Amino acid sequence: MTRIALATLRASLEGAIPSEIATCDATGVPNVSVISDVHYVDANHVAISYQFFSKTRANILANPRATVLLKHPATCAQYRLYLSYLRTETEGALFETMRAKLAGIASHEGMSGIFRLLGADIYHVEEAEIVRADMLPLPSPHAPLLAALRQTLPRLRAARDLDSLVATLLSSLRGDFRLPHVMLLMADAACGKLYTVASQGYEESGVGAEILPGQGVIGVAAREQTPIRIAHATREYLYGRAIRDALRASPMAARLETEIPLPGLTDSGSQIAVPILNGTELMGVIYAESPEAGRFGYDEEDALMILASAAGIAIQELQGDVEEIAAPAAPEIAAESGAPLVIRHYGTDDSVFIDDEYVIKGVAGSILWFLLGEYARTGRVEFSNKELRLAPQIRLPEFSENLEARLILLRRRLAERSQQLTLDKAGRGRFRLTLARPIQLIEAES
Amino acid sequence: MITDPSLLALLAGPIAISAASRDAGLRPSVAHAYGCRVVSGGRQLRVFILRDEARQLLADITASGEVATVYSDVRSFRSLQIKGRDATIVSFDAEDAAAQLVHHRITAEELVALGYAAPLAHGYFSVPHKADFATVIFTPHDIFQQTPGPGAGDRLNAASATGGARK
Repeated sequence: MTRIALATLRASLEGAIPSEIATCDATGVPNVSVISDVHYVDANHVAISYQFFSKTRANILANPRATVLLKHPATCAQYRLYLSYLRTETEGALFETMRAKLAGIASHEGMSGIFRLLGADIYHVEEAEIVRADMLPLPSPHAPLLAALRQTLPRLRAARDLDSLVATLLSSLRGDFRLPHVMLLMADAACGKLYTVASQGYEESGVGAEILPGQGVIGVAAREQTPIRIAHATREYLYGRAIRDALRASPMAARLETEIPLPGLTDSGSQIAVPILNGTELMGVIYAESPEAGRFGYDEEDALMILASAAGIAIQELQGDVEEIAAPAAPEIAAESGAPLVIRHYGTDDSVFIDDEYVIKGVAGSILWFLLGEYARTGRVEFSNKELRLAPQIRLPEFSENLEARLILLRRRLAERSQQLTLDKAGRGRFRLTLARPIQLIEAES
Repeated sequence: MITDPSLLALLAGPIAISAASRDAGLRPSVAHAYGCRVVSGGRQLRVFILRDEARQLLADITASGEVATVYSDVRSFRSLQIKGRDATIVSFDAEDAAAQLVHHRITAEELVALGYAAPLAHGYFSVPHKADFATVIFTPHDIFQQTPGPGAGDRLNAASATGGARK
């Protein structure tokens, strides 16, 4: 039999076609079972889900040797892995990745609730061999991922501010990576939640929507700082349900943005979320979904992890107050006319309403209220990031506040919600408020 | 002895089959099987293996007589494991060849009905032109229910498999 490198077999480790595992007890009686999932860990290890105490499990505890037969989901090739059981993990990144994957497989096979992960059994791969060569041609990939990375990474590095970095990231995901439905969420470390700063491919952008770590595909990827991928979307990882559960369970959830729903495909077939990390600190999450089942494989996971890593470095390098004053804009001919916009602010949660329509709350709400107050008091329309950081009225978290991400969220939310009030960039670290009508500010009693 | 109609129906239906054994050092071997046939009034089972894909398995069966086989219905995932301790390798005969063709046809057709593309469905069960088959023949010693879930591994006694099978 021809030997083969495990890393080249990953398409057969997606759980799309069941595999068989052969084991043997201490007395020499063999056993063979169908298993739903063999998971790629690294070039020399796989993990197999431990769902209930089976004969297979009893056997590997007595005799650690196992042999697995894999089938390629597209070419009908067969491979054999000779394995040696090492240990079982019952928590952590690998466990959560496998739990999510298993939930997707169970949903696909109509067995939700039957497949429950008790542990991830880790095996050393002693040998991998080709049993049967490809019977059918390998389908061409959805997108040339290496070429997409090569195109995108220099563009991220060239971004002058977070706003253009976010725009670059989204356009590359749509164009080069051919992922039309994506979201970018940033982590609010102080409050322990994630907020949506940008999305594409949805009817409503959902900018400003928030979720808690641990909930849904995005939340688990954030909490475990590991990619989470579901080949067949499953109720267990849906956000609507996740958020409802969280609202019941968590005291934090009461402070969560619930007015703005997280977008999502109603016919979502497969989903992937990858963390953006700065060392061990979570900076955000890139999320993509597709109506097609099984759209995201190990290759997409690799590519998005590399992209997220590059995005994390680029975001980190853009942190800090760098101001570049742009050439003065044409003098503001503030076409301020007509009836005043009535803008209400509720201090308890910093929510802001324009003409009785909800716009935003939290940190972004307090920024908006500060800007409007300054404008009403002094007539000033240009501001710097730096002064926002120093303003005591704005409740920026002390650490990891990522002000620029809040400003992107605010700018996008205003663009969606109000024709009369816009925020525009006015050079790096600076921005300009434009009002089409006079304003009347009301500090509301909560 | 296998005479329970539901077990016989499963073995004659659209199923994926695998066979396993082990060497003297208790390292397991496993290969896909391309069909099966119940013979001698349910007293023996014949399972078809492609020699090129299963040299180690065939050597292990010859040396030890131990075999474990699993039969999984492609529609329901209902699975059965049948073990034997007296397995030997015999010639793949004309009746085996006929059974292998039927197995290929009904299983691939069922997969197509389930939504798999036809080339894929047939790809898993097709064999090379002038395929070199071997037949594993054995007496069912133990029969287990193997359907995924907590009941997997429950023994359906070889004796009770004559009609009073549990589960």
